[in-house]
Amino acid sequence: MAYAFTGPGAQRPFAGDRWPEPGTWTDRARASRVEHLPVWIAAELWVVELEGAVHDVGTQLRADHGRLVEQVDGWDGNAAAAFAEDCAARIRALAARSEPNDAMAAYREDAGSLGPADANVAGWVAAQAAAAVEGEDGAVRERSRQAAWLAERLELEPATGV
Amino acid sequence: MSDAQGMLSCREVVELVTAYLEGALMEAEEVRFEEHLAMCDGCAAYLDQMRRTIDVAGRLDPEAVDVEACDRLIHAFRTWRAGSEPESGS
Amino acid sequence: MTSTDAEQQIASPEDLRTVEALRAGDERVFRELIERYTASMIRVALMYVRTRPVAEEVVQDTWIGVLGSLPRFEGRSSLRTWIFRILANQARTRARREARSVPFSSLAGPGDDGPTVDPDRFLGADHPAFPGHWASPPRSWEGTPEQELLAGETRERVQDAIDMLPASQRAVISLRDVEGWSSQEVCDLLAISEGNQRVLLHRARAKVREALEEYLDGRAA
Repeated sequence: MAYAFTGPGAQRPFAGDRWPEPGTWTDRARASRVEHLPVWIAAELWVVELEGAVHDVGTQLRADHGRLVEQVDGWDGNAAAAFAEDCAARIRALAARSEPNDAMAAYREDAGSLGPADANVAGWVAAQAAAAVEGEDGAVRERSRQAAWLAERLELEPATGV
Repeated sequence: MSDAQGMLSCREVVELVTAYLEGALMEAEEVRFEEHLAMCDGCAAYLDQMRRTIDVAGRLDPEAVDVEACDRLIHAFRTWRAGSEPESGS
Repeated sequence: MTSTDAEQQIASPEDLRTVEALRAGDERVFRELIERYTASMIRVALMYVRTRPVAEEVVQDTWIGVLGSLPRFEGRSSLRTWIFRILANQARTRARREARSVPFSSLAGPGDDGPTVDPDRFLGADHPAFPGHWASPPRSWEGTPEQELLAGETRERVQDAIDMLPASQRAVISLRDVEGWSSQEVCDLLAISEGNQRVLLHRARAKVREALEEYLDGRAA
């Protein structure tokens, strides 16, 4: 079991097609472990089951086959808005700690305009801002923090069997 | 031009779109490409536009053949059918 | 539409019926064949010879060559592949005879390398926060009504954009995206590598997308 973000209506991101309805297997399944979810944020979150040769490619889990199990209802507009706001707050906190510079100013300005539809961007900008202040490790830590936020908010279980 | 998270810029991504659609990217690069699209509406739109462009191209009407050229070919066909050696067009 | 190597090596039952009908003198079948392939054949010929009148002659010669060679069609490839191979050979032969044939490598067009999207649409490499990111991103076409994308005028714009491409880009995008040839089939026919073919396809698609974007954004404005 793992998780997959999708577009509205279980649209497969970038693939131009949709996951079949829950329970039906499909080829070339893509999903993520909880710790990597923040980079894949999109409209819907699903629990997915993977089968066949499952392997990690960076932040993505790839498998021969997969199927949707159920949607994580907790990931809705409110959750996305809360996530975006949390990241915006993180960016402001980082900006407060750093010397004034153009990069942080740009990140903070960006943060001001992030809404629920921009949760994915918010996560990325926060990681960029963390890197600007704390170095590359900062980005990694920030993404871990975001993953923990999602796991707690949505009561996600760690991926199993992968 | 990777960012702090080792990710691609939009300018790089648009040059990888064709390789991506052909399935020609290596796995790791493919994931980095998709990671970028996950956080970049502009590039996601670009990829979608590219898909739709290809779709429209696939629906183009067959082009009409020049009538005179067609007639000449039919004439050549009849000649060939009748057993004579067809003359070349030039 | 894709073909495996195995598929493209063997003529379909329909191909075999077509060849039989031609050998039996069925004029209607011949007419259908020339209507189906001639435009594409001219485009491919233009990759080798310089002018359209010469390309049209090459295609005429090819069809006559096809008729004469019918007894030798063994069905080891599809009929389409067989016809286009005869065309490619004719075109290359003609190109060698023509004193001013265009070397394949120069067919990309003058100055046709570098970025496929106007650099002005991106933030500079020196941008402090978002180097190389969109300055003016493309807008989503998801809101575009389906009928607009499928409309005749939209298709005309795409056809026009393809017609204006340099010869080899035009041929590759026509074979791949308009006609549905597989990557393997195009590489085999044109005797180019996957990488070369991909570059031509990439440049061609980028220009056509841009033309379509201009058209659709113009209508939306």
